Amino acid sequence: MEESDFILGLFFSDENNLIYDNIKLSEELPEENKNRLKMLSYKFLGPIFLTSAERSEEGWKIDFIEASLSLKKGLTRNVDILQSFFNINSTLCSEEGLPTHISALIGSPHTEDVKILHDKLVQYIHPVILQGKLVLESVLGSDFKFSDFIKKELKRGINLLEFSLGKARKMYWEEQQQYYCLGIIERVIERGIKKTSNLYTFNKDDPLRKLSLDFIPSFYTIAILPDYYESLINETLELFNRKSIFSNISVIELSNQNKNIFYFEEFNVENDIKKSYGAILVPNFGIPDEAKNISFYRRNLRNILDLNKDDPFEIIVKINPNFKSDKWCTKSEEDLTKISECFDKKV
Amino acid sequence: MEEINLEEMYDIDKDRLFKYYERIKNQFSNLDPLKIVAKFLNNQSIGDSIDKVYNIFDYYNDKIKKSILDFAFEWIRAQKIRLEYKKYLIRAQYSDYELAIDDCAFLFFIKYDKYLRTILKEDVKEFEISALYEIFFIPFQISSVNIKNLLERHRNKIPTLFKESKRINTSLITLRLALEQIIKSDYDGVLLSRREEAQKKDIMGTKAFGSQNMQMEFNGTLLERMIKTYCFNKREIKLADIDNGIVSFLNSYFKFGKFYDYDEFEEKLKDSLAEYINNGLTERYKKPDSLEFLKKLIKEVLSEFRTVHTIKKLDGAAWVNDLKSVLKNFFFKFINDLT
Repeated sequence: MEESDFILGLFFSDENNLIYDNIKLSEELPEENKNRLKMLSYKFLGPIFLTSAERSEEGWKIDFIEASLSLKKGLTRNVDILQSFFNINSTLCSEEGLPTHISALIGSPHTEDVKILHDKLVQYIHPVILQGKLVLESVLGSDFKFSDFIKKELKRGINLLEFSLGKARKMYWEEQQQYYCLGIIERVIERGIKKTSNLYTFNKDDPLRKLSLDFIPSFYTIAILPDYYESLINETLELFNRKSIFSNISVIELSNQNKNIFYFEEFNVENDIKKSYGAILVPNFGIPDEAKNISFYRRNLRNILDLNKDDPFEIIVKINPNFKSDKWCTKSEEDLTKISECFDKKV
Repeated sequence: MEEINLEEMYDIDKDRLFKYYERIKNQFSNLDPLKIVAKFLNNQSIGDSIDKVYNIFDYYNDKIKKSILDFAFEWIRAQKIRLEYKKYLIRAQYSDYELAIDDCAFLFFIKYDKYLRTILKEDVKEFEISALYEIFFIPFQISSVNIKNLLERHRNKIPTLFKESKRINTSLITLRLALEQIIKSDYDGVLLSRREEAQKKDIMGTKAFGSQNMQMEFNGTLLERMIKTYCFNKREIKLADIDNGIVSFLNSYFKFGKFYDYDEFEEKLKDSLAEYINNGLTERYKKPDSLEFLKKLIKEVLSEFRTVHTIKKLDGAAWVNDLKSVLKNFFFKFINDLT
């Protein structure tokens, strides 16, 4: 594959939070873009482990983000052929018990086999870095230079990921999971500017709302993630000179030990207005009768978009009858603080 | 679960092998048990010699959780894995050795490494596991395995790390270091085979080029014959025949599915068509400058064609389609103008 065909970056953050990166760059990129790309690693690595003064967010990691890419209206010349864009993250603890993180950024003209890329990163590239450091430290002693070592390993890692791109996608058998919905996020963007952003969820006094906090880092965190990553991905596309396409978040996956969150969105674009609806889903919530599979949620989110009513609550209540019709705005910091105060306290 | 998956993936017919082992055991019942297994394995074309295999068994006998026969079965299973890995390697295109090592390690050996460690005792050192990889996976035509030298070489390269009394997992580094030379050597073999194959093709290609070269020119024999027939008996040539002649002329050069640049074939087409038509003219119609005149006429026709058809590169069939009517009209007019 030509270097200009894809976007590929590998970022590593060690126990001391020092960040190293390897980004495959096309020679055609302007110098300014290449410099700004260096900051990308901080932006992608930053939130993958969520830290906060609130204990509830400890241990939560962002494992995977996928965005769908669409052509901007009117731009049919010099079209950027990118079909998939995703960010795969891995967190492993060193021998000292301190977390290290590795993040792969991939934009490809093909529909990639995400599982094999994920497995290569998580089962090989990341552990090899940790183990290699230990072995070489023991063999070389004070002659061991971590910066040289990590440079070589990131180069090997990125080459291994690149080699997997464009390969035939395998079908994997997976047991169908049942999920419970904790909230719906509504986002409306007009000509690149955020117009509306709302959260639909339980009443703040509903015991289900309090129970939800055992399954998510916080409503505040979940509410900001789609906008944050969508902007970041659009910024990345621009830095890589892919100006004819824009992104929409498809999936965000988070985990904390045995807890998982699956967030996905459906969207449409009409007259320069992009509307998206996302469902915050968790497995094993404890109400099996109300748990549904992903296609149920997908169908209903699509229904909201297709029917295009002013008030989507008619369908939102089908997704979870325990939700209230109140829209909780998530647009500004003030709105988010209100959400945090109302929804993120157990007492 | 891992163990079952790997055993299914690289299944060996243990029943058949066990029966064969039993026959050997009955035949050589006076031999040391390790020697019997060594003979059994060597008879499977594994190992340099029975003695070398015996020495390996002797060393690893107290390092495995299972019996030495099970160990022998795993050596056989390793050959199956090697076969699959080699089949993959033959088709792979790597930019460097490191990529080859990482890709093959991930695809074929990570799972196997976890499996192999389940049959070894916990106190087996990393260099002993690494040496075992060389024993199992290096082709025997390359290496003669002397167990003492082999272990010494690996001991110096691969440490076993502990934190206080707890062993630190460095399995992937052991795997990578163990497979380094094996995969490099195998991939060198693949590259050498490819080069030899390419050289063979070059030699054959040069011989075929002569005949192929002829196919790169236009063939207007049919048109030549048509003109000649007309010159002799002045009988009207049907449009359908002209059509056939022109299509035959174009198809002799253009192939469906292959792309042609207009600038590449323009001169060839002009010169060939002019030559064939000129060759068809009898003395009555031919003049000293007939050929040049024909070339000029055809050039004008093609220039006019170019003002309308500006696309530079097309599939062969598309060129035939586009040029057909223009050349047909030219040929028809040329014949009508012959006096």
